[in-house]
Amino acid sequence: MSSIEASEVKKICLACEAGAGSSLMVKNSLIKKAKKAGIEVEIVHSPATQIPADADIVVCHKGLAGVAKSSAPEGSVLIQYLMFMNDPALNKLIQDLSEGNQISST
Amino acid sequence: MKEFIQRVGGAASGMVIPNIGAFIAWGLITALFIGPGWAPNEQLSSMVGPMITYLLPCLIGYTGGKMVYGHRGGVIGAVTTFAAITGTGSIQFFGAMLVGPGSAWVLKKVDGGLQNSVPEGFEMLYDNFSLGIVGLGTAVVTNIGLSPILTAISDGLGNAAKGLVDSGLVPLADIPIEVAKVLFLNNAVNHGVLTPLGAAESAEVGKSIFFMLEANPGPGLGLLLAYWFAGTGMWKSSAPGAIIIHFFGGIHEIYFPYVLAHPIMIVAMWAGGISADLWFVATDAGLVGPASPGSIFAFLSMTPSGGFGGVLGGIAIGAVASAVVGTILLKARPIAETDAGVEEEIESNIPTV
Repeated sequence: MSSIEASEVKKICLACEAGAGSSLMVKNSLIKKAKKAGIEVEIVHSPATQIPADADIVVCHKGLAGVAKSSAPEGSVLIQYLMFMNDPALNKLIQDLSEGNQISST
Repeated sequence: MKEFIQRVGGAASGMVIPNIGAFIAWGLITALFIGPGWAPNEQLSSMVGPMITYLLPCLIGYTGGKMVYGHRGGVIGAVTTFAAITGTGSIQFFGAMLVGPGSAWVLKKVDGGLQNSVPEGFEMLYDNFSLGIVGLGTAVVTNIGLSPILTAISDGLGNAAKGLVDSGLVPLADIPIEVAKVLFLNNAVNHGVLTPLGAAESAEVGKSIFFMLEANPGPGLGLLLAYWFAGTGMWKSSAPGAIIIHFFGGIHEIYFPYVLAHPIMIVAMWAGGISADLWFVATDAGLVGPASPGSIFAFLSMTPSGGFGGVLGGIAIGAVASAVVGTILLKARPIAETDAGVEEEIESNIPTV
């Protein structure tokens, strides 16, 4: 089970199957939430098979967790969500980042 | 197994999706300027054939090569794809998916063996001529050696697809398609398989039903409407927002959790998908190019002139059928939800293959 201190998070990657549709949509909503909370961290999106090697946190839907796990960089934290809008896991991620908590894989 | 399919399908669709814009440009040019189009123009329609025969497969071969070995891989992938096209004399989307990454892999191995021993000052000479010479090799091998195999593959797939259409069994294809979609194989199915089949058919007869089998936004709209009418709690309240993103934005993934959390709802998707496909078959409907993302706007822009009845009718029928069946299902077997139990409910219901 990987975990990371909020202060060490530099890059968050949203992964979906194609890296073109839903990951882009969830990324933009996450960027908005992060901006609102005053969090400065790079948020990108990619296909689940091509996650960038410098991602600290990988975020994807539960249905793609298996693929994302095998392409995510070693030691990165994997956050899984269920709903594409207002998922509690995403809200918790923003909360943890802004409060400086430790963030663990789900 | 599911992950294996996601991975292979992801590779195939990953070669197509970055190039969908070119497919759409080709689709628009076709819809507008060919003989039966909106604004027939002989001069402009001369682009249609070469674009689908050469440009689009070469883009796929380039992207496939790039996935394996960056820009150099892309270049040799495009070169080798050209050899596949002229060798087989047919539209080679699947050939491009094979020889694009394949030739890039060969170049990667050659570079891996030689690049470190290139003397100082000769790097550019090496880079250009190694790609040129390896490209010569992969092109010749593909053109002469692989072409019969590629022809057999594309003929086989094309005949199977044609047989499916001719026998009127296309609607049955909806049963696996709807299941694959919610397992996040939507792009693998659509762009890995259906888009190449559709483009080949559309180049021949001007439109194809294959572009609509996965991308039809009607059934998903019906499912979300059912949740809006008959759902409870967060499922009900989130449905209207999801409808906008799904139907207008074309992000179908938004409805997948509504099926995954309550798997019996796949029956509503089948009802919508099969009845829509039956209508498409009955009216001989088709799109000119791929509707991607699967938004109503993408469908409208890819509808051939005179085809609106078939296309819009199928979307409407799919929406009504899945809304009716979905509402009945939700009334008969309401989705279990307690505030705390939602996540566990979703978790325990995610199907595994």
